[in-house]
Amino acid sequence: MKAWKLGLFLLVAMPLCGATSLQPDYMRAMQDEIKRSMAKLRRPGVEKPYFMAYKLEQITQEEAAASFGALYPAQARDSQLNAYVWVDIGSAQKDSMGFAHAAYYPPYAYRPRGAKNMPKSYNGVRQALWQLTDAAYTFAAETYQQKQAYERAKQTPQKDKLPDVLAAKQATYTEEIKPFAAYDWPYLQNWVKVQSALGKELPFVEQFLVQVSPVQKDTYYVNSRGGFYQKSVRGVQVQWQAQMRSKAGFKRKYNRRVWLADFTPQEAALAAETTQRFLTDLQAYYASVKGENYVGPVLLTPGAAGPFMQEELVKNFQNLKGLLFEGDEPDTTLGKFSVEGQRILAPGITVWDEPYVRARGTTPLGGFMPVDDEGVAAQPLKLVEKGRTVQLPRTTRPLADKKRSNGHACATALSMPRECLTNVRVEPENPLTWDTLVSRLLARCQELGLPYGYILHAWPGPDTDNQPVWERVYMDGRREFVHGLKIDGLTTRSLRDIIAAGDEPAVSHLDQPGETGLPAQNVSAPALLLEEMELVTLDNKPDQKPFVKKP
Amino acid sequence: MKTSLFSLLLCVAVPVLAQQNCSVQSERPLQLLTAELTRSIKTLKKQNPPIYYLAYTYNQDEQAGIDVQEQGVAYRGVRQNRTLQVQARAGSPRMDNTRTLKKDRTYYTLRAGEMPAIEGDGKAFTTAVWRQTQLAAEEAQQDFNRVRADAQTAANRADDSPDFVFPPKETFCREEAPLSFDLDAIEQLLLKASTLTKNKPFVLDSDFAFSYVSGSQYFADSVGTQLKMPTRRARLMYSVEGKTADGAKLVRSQTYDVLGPEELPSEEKLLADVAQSIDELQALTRAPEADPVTVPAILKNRAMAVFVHEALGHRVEGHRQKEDSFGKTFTNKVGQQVVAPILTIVDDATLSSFNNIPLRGFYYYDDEGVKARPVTLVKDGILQGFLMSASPIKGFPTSNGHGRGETGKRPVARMGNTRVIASQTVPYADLEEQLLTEIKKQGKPYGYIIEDLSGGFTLTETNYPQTFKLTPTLVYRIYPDGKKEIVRGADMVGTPLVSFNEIIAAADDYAVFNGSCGAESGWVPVSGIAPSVLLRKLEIEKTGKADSKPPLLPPPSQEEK
Repeated sequence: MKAWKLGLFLLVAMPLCGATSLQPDYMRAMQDEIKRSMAKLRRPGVEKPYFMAYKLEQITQEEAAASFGALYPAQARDSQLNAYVWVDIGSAQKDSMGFAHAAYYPPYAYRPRGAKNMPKSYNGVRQALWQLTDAAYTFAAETYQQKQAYERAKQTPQKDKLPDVLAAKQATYTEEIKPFAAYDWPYLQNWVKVQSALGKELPFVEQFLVQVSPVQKDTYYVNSRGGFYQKSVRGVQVQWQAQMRSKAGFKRKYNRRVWLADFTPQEAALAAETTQRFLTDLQAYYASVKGENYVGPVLLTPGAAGPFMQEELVKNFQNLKGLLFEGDEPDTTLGKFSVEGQRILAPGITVWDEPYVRARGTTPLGGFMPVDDEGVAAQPLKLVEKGRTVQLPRTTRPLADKKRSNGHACATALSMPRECLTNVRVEPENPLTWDTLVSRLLARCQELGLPYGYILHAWPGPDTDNQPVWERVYMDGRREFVHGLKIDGLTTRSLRDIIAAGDEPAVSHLDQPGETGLPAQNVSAPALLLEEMELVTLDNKPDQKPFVKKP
Repeated sequence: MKTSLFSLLLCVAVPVLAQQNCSVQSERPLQLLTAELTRSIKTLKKQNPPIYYLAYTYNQDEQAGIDVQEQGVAYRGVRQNRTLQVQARAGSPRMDNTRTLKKDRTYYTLRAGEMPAIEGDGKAFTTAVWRQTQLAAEEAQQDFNRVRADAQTAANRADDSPDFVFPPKETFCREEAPLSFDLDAIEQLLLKASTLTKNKPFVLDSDFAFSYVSGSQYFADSVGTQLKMPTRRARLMYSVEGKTADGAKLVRSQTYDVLGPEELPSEEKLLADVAQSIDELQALTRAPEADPVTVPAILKNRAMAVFVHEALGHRVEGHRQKEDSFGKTFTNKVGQQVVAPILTIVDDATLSSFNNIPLRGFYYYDDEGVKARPVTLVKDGILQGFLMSASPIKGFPTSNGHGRGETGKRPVARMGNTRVIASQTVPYADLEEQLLTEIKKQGKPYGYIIEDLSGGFTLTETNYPQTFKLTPTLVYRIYPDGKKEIVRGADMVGTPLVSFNEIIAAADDYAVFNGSCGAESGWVPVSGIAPSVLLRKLEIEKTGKADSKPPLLPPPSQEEK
């Protein structure tokens, strides 16, 4: 808990240091416009604003990319300033948010009014916020009426009636926004050229792209209750993309991505090791054999365990407060773990969310969140202990137990502030070495009479671009890569199937819809051994060979 | 009234003689593209279905932009662009993958992608070309299979011309000095112009921008054509927008197409133009709304250029005479009078400028490798022919260099520089006098002068009425006593066969409208050149309005006052 106390101290002790900020005009413009709007925005016959929030995001990015030793056109520094505005009318008891008209897909209810590529000046920011605020106020007025009509039409027992908002103490956080770091551009270009040239050695690879992208995302937030923050996250994304044809004739795309705090020679050397590993893996994928249906234990590498935990655990800790929705379509993003004490995970694993952490080792964390998007200080949470939920992320919109916000409201470009996790850490009580985990996998296979077990190296993505990578491990230690398998029937039940975990966690960065820059959510997880997974074969046929031989 | 001074027109319109100043043999991109094309086509022709034609378009250029709003820079960037587009044709010229389907959706997309640099042995570049070719060939085969299935069950085509005619083999190489602008100075100029919108509460939005593209385009195909052509366009523009309480959106804007810093408007001129636009915007916010009416009207020169583009130009694009889904307004009217006899209309993409204004519709060769040439569409009111791509139609078996499309879109017949020439003209002041006479003669309470417009559209498919609509941004009512009154919310509508025959006189004030035109093959730069004309009658209808009011609070800058 030491770290948390330090984090809290920083939150309350740091004054707004506009003088050191690169763009003090942004905060001033936001504060001036929110003050004016709260005081004067009032349409006859319509409630005045009850709560307003502004968020500006300035994303600056460079990119060096090359394929087979030749550079792609240089993408020089590009800086984009985007704005988002939320306006709520009514009162804490009954407001305009949390209702989705039938025309809207529920998760995107009350999406903010946004503008992209705004002018970077006091006047420009104010002008944009003025127009966005007016549009958001109009939308709030319409939604307020619709929400009231909906509630009148539905019967809600008195005991279930909760106030829409429970007040929470506002916090502030300000850090100096430094200029985008000047990277050694020729060095970056030379590095991607050299690394991508290594792809020439593999004749079956049709494209081998290596990219280095330094990114900085500065966020400025102000709300009408006095909460504000100003923060900056930076990182360098290195990405490898290969398009190839396997020996069996299947077209395949494989991606790998790492985030680094910087791109010093030491970090470049680390990234170069990843190039070598990726190329070795491509050779193994090339020679992969077709898989068969399988029901049995599966060992997830840390790189696969992160997305698995995000899919089955993190998502179910988010968006806990249901929306009122007059349509028939369910809110598929609604989290299932909305009650404290619920048994959800195998015992022996503790899960934390640590929004105040900026980096884990050399990996920067985009989920750094000292103050949330309702202006509440973000508290660290022990989400799961001994298999049961302990603390839930909370916003000012109370769940059934009426507890107050703990600073875990995230507002994306697509939604109102809802419950979220940002820097999740999975910590086993009895971590095992990788070799021990593999032995445990094989031992379990033997008990079940299976000739082999599976290791999953990369989690299947939402599209076919991100191929799952399966490795079969035989009792005699022999290994082979396998293609054409997919996971069948995965549910939150799988979380209780974890029977062992590793001792070397890795951070997985997880893109959120509508987010840009360093992903605002990540999971640090060790390797996980699952008691059972069901794998089924994909009934696909090899692709035709290229008409003309590769040059 | 006087006859048109053709000699004068020739003086100010500059046709470009296609002079070569480099050699295709020494151009590395063409060497690599041609080598890969030659290597591929032999094998591709043997596939089932065969890939019988292959073409590469490679663009290598620099694109820069500055965008200023509210005295702040929203965007400034320079990016290098290298893209390859592959056109693969599967089947045979008689029937190939590009045929428009009758029973399914037709896709106009082409395989296009970013390219690595040509370095060392060029292997990385060549490998990327090979990969794009493979993907394009696979897509062409899949599309051809859809075409074959469609042909078996769809209704007969009225025009059963082949899908393709091989373009002639061409060789052309021309390069020009890259465009060079002082972006810092331009940014300062835009920022200064932007300050004019301060303390103008009726200006709800404003935008001041500059952009240029400068580089080369390379083309190689399996016929043996090899081309290198310069790509050069630069534009400074601004717009100021407002809104009335009843939701009508108001816009005043101006564009300056240039090819060098010396052609940019001076600070004095730009600031004066912006100030005038702001004054016009303010006048529009107070202006009465137009009523639907049919009255005599003058279409000012730039508005006339857009009118011709929309009402006639799109309807004489070759493929619209072939596909049965189109209205074919002019298909069977070659040799017949279709517009007023005083008008001749030529589409001439070889014109590089007019009155020292660069024409955006200028090009040396079209996007199918066919040489640009002037095409007389209408002579003295009589329809002569159509704009042709490499897709033949009845009576027009070859391309006339109008196959155009943006990168990633399959070329179809499109306009370039559409030029209207009047055989009889008068000074503009006389045209206004004629308008007053016409108003009185018809007993109308007023007429209209369409001073400026932002663009328009036309409906050419049979599912829709064969109409066009133009969206004027500055319109005056003119009363029989000569008094003028600015009005807002007037859209021009009509049908092509009627509207063109209402033109009864033309002025000698030729002017250019430079714009971008969007259609099946994407956005292409185009120009129109026309004089002001008098129409016996023009139909005006109300402009659509937004459903929301202007912002409740005044702009922040105004609040501080």
